[in-house]
Amino acid sequence: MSRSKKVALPRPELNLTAMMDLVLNLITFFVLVANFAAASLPALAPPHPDKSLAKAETIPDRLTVSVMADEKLKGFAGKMKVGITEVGKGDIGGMIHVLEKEVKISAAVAVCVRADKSIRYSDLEPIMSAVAGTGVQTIHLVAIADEKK
Amino acid sequence: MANAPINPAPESRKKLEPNVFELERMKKKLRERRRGNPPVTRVAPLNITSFLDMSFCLLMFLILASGGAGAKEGVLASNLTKLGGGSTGSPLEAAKVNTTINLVVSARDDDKFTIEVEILGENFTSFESLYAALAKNRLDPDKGTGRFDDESPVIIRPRGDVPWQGVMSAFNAAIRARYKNVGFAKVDG
Repeated sequence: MSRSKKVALPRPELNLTAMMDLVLNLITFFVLVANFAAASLPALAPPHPDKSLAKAETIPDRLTVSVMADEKLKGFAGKMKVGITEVGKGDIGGMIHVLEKEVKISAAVAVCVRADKSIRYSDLEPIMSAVAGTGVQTIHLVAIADEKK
Repeated sequence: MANAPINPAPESRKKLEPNVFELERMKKKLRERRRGNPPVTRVAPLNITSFLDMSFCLLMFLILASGGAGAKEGVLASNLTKLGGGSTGSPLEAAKVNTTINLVVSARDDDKFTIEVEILGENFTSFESLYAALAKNRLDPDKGTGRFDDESPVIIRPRGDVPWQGVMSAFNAAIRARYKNVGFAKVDG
């Protein structure tokens, strides 16, 4: 008499621990990055030249100096932001202080001047001069890039 | 009546009796204990499908939200510090060998500008025509056309009341015309 023996096959299981770890880390990373990106780039309207040559490049060691338009006086510069540090209206000394600290940390820092298109040149020129005077190696100007055709 | 059980078990007693499989399981457990094998602990499975769905949706949202904020903005590469910190109208070293091209920008309205190219003695009312004139006058050794070397300093001299839009448009026109030394002067008035 033959006895048939049922062999229990091993049930495959997927170990999701590593994937879950990774997913949660990615979520944390993006939450932080999104907050910093939003914090360092305040809402303003950069200029949009015709046939703009501006390129959406990834600059590794980048510090953005944002100059917002004054809320009450049309054409005048308002508050500034250097990286994530807010600087008061017309406080060029404060801006220089923050920039000099950044240059000390990294001499190769590239400063991107991001200003509202309505601000008069007489308000922006002292800011640009001050940026150049801090010993920054490279200054870029932010504009709206033309969409790819 | 002859086929009826002599002493049938009442319904309540039937329920209390363990079934055959349960008995087998208990016997097996006892045997394992006697052999010294530790009892197998069972872990209740956790269904994480919905959790993973939610995590991926959140991840996608954050990727899109973080990337979309400054997608349209870009930088115009410049040599401002090389030319004199963005505040000088005299890039002296370059001026010895090249002719300086001054672009005087004045505003007629918020979005209407006049650009005077001093060396050409011409005024332009659009940045497209400024670009065309600059490109036409750039020296092209192959074709033998143009007057100004691409290393010639182009100095943008905006009036104080000119909005940043006009200044940047002039800057864009100059680098579109492939001039390499483009800078800004101090406010003229």
